Amino acid sequence: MRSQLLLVGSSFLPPFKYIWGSLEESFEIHFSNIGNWGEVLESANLKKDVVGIFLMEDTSFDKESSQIEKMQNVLSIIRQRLTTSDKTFLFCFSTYTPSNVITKSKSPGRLSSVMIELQKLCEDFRHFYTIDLDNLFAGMGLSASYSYRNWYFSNSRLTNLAWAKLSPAINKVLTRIQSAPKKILVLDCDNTIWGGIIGEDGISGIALGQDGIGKAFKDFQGAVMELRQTGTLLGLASKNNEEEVWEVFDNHSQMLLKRNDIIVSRIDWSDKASNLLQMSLELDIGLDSFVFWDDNPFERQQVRNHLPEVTTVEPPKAVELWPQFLRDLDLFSNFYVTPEDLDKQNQYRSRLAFQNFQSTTQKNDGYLNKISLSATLVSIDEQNLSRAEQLSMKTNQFNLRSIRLSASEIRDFINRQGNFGYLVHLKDIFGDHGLVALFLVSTKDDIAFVESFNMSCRVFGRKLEYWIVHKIEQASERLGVSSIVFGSRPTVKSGPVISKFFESGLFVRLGNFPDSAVTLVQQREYRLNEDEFYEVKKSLAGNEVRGIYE
Amino acid sequence: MSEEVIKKLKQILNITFPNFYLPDDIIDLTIGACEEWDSLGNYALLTMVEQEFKLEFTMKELSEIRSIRQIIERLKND
Repeated sequence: MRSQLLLVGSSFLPPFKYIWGSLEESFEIHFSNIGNWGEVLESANLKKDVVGIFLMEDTSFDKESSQIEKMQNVLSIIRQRLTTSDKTFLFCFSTYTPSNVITKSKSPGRLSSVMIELQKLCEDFRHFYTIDLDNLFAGMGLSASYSYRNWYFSNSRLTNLAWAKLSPAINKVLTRIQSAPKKILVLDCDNTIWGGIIGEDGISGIALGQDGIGKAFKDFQGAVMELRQTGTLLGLASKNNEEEVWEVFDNHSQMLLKRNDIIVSRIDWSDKASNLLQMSLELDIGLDSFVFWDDNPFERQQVRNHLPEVTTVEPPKAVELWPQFLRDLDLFSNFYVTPEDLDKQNQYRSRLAFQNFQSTTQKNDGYLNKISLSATLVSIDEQNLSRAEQLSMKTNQFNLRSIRLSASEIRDFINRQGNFGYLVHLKDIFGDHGLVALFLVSTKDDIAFVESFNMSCRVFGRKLEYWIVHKIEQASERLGVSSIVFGSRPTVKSGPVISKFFESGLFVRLGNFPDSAVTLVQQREYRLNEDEFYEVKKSLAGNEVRGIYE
Repeated sequence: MSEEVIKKLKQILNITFPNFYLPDDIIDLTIGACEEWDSLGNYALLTMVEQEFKLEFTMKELSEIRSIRQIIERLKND
């Protein structure tokens, strides 16, 4: 079902399909009337996401207040709306006004109060986002973006070129709010991260260095490293002899990428689609989280044909355009970078090491006793709230009720009387895995209901989920609760994992939800009639993890 | 007017009025030929013509041009 989106502007927004067509695939778009910005926003349906397009130049004929005062007034109205509605607000703004170099030469900071307030809005409200139109249009130039003729003819200042730039930008931001960034970039080697063919040219013959095309390939590696450093995983899929490829990584003085930057590789003569599939299985990352970059159109098409879920990039023909093209893709971009994001590579290495250990030790659970598992409950606060939101929004497999909660919803939940929730921190001999699980529990009378339970797939196989059940039991006992109920709402991705969890012998399946446990309002909020319900059998979870966790 | 120009105009009409079943001969089409081609639709059409043919209509032309024939005449004068 498409979400509802309200478009609001300081001037007329042309409702043309050629402008908004791509947005209409995901959103049912409504256009507000032009009017007083404040009246429009204050009366706007609070249940719709909003995109506001505000050009300071549109207020130039309002003589009652200065343009900056007008802008500040708009931001004040937006702040009021953000306080009363948790729907997304994307503010696209331009502070451009025609230059008068003389009058403006002594007031370079005249917009600082506006920009400071915009920054505060971003920090105070997680559901507020911005697009700086002047920055977006800078590449085209102002005369190609803004039109006085359009303004006088139709009350709409932007040109078609500007709309063609803005609409996809809006789509990118709104899409990113609703979907996770890609996780892994898989690269070819020959003529992709270096010029030439290592098998033919040898290490001294490939183009990689300080000048010309070699510099372009090196800068491309630099753009790849920027992604690596913000949490994107890197893989190699190359038709080559493996030792020749690693020789370049280890010994070529101009290589920016090192062997240790690569989390997974398939360097052989198999087809690349098969190799990508193997990587997906090895890392347990869905193919829809993969991005594939190869200079060879034949290889790209082969992957597109066999693995349409993989995003196969169509790079520009000119290699010198690749670094900026990769940066502009935004496939891996996110609004925040958490400490867990920065440590992603180590986390996956730990996971692979654990899987390897698991497969080489005895088949019973004795190996879990050997890896010094240590888990702790972490209170949810403003410092880790973004991680809590990330776990709620992005976890697909171990997500018992498929509920996605924003940071403000999580905050509201744990502040309600009778509710509690925690993040879970995990470490073992394979490393510090960080905050890997989130659970939220509401209590009423003598029943505790686990409203939400999410756990990262990186830490599967450690019985952490049973340790968490044990901790919920302990917390609930302290509150005088005698019955702990879990809800289950499986999806295609979570079904197998959830089935295994509830069929572990620790639960009894209930027919109906115990009505006294939550208020009717909560029942409506969380759509309880869609769940299956399970009650925990007392103390079994503790037995399951005894001796495994410190 | 060249076939290439007519072909481009047809493409523009398809994009601007996606629900309009275009006739083979578009020369006599005017505002009101389909539901979407009202004054707002006419403005959309003319801005698309500007973009495709890299020209700029004056405000007077935006007000007065309301048919394919007039667009073609204008293109001839460019």
